[in-house]
Amino acid sequence: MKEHDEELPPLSPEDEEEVARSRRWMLGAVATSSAMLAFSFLSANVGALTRFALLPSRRKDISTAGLPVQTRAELAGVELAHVLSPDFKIRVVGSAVPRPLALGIADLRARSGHRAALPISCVQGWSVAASWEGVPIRDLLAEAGVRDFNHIIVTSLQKTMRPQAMFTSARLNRAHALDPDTMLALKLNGETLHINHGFPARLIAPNQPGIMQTKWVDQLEVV
Amino acid sequence: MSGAGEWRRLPRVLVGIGCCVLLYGLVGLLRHAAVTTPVWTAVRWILILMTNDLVLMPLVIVVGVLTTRLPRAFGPVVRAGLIISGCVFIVATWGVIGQIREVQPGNNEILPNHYPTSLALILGPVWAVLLLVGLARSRRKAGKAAARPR
Repeated sequence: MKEHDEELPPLSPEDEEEVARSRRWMLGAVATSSAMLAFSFLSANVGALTRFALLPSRRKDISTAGLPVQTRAELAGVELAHVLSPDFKIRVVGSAVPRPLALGIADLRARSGHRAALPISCVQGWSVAASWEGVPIRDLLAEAGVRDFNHIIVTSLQKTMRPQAMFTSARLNRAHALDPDTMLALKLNGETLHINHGFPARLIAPNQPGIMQTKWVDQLEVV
Repeated sequence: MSGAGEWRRLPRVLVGIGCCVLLYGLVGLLRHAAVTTPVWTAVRWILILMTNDLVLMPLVIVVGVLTTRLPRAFGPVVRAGLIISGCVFIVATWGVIGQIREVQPGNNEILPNHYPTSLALILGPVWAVLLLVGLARSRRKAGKAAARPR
């Protein structure tokens, strides 16, 4: 490298000055870009700055019950009439379940009461804090007589494969499932869950990406 | 600490830390294969690398070379503008494309802003300032050239 440099003709002082200035401009541009992108991300996600957000993928003020909807029930193929029918039950089943459960909306409401403040953190780069109320998963496991298990597959009523098939189920490992704040949420920010947010119940767990917080829960398979 | 000698180790230490982080990611990728789909992830990463090396990098080099043909006062200024615009555009692409081809028609909670307008509001002032700086540099250079003894 050094030899190569020595072969180059020497720059005039004016050229050297120009090269140094050009380098400073480049570094300045990188620093400015980084600052602009950092501000763009912060303004999209930090409450006090949201009014300055020009490139957010979601906004709290354009939302349902204070939380933006990613996939609407209509697109997921979930019908309100189906989940309101008396036949609809959320089942707790699987090889590790001695006493399978089948719970209707009223059964879930009777068991509800645990509250937690947890965000929906979407892999698309937005995060919105929310207050949830519902039934802790570990209470359901205790009621079903589950003593030992490896993981839980949470399945959704979602039928359609668009926009992502990943939304139709989530895998909860043991530690996640037993966390006191992991629950089947029935209320969001004090209101009954909207159908677009996963009515009658959606999974809410700490430290899970939004894509794994399964909506319209149909079944918990404990393995 | 022996000054320069200690600093020379820094790149190796940073590479070591980077390798540890990569290894941690790889272990996580393989341990949770049902969720991470390692084969698809590998295909995606290869595609990203190829896009970077075969499309983005040559494009940046060609544009960089073209900017050397600009008047000296404007070269660095235009390059700075292009770097800033490129970075901002990458972030805005999601929104701009989402408005061209709606993911969920009627769902105004997805991509709620008008992103082409946002892009203009961000990059308009940036280019205006850079243009003024370029003009000032050009005038200063012309002044210096005129003042130089012949």
